[in-house]
Amino acid sequence: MPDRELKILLLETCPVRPGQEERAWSALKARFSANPVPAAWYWLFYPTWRGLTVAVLAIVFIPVMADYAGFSLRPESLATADSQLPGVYATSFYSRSAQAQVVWLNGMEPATDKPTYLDPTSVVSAPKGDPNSF
Amino acid sequence: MRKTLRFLILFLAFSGLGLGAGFAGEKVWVGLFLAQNQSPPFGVQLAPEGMHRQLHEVFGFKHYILLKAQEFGLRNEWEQWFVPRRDFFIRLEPLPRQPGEPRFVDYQIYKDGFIIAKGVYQPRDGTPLFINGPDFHQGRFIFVLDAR
Repeated sequence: MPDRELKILLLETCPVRPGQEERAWSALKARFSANPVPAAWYWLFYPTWRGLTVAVLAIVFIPVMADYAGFSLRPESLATADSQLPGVYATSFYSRSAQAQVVWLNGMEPATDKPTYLDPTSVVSAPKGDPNSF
Repeated sequence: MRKTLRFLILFLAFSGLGLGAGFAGEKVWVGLFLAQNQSPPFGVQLAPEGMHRQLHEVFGFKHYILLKAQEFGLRNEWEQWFVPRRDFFIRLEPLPRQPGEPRFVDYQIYKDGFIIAKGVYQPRDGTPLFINGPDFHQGRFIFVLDAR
């Protein structure tokens, strides 16, 4: 159906009342020309100089002040632990509840009261019949 | 003017909180504790209350008997030994420090004459280092390094 016939058909079935078109246009113009009240934080969501300033402050100023305040940016546990003996496992961690650094060693033989190799040789009883033995 | 003054006061106040870390680390106190659940014999020296709480949080024993302690100056940048027992001791060596940088201490733990672990530790005020040692009878040996 051509546009002209469609327009005639529409006018016959839905006639436009006098002044209705002007009122619609004026309402639309009024809506476009009105200055909307901006939200208080609208500048946060648009690239403005004010937003850029706040962003720079947030990125630079807050971590620096936090560092001064004691919330250090460095890791809390600065102790390292490396095992040097097969079978012995070394782990280091920071205990937040104890506020202490911890080095945990696993796999060691229990300590005893027996003489060690560092004791004087006279303490260690030599097996009989072996003159080369300590 | 008032804003500048307020900023200056805040800056100085927050700066003061970080001073502790700057002055910490001139000395380190090293102690060997025997942790156990049995009641300790009369007359032994126990861990101070604050340290007891920290040790209990980590190891869970009821009593911490101080066996031997020694204090080391961290300005002496050479190796120093703490030998409370012949079969379990520790070697410390304060590493050279650049001005304005934190002090680090190299440590090596020896058991039965063999080095079993080594590492680097940064002495910090209020943050001791606990080193879990071998079991002994019903308890356990624990090294404590504390910045003074």
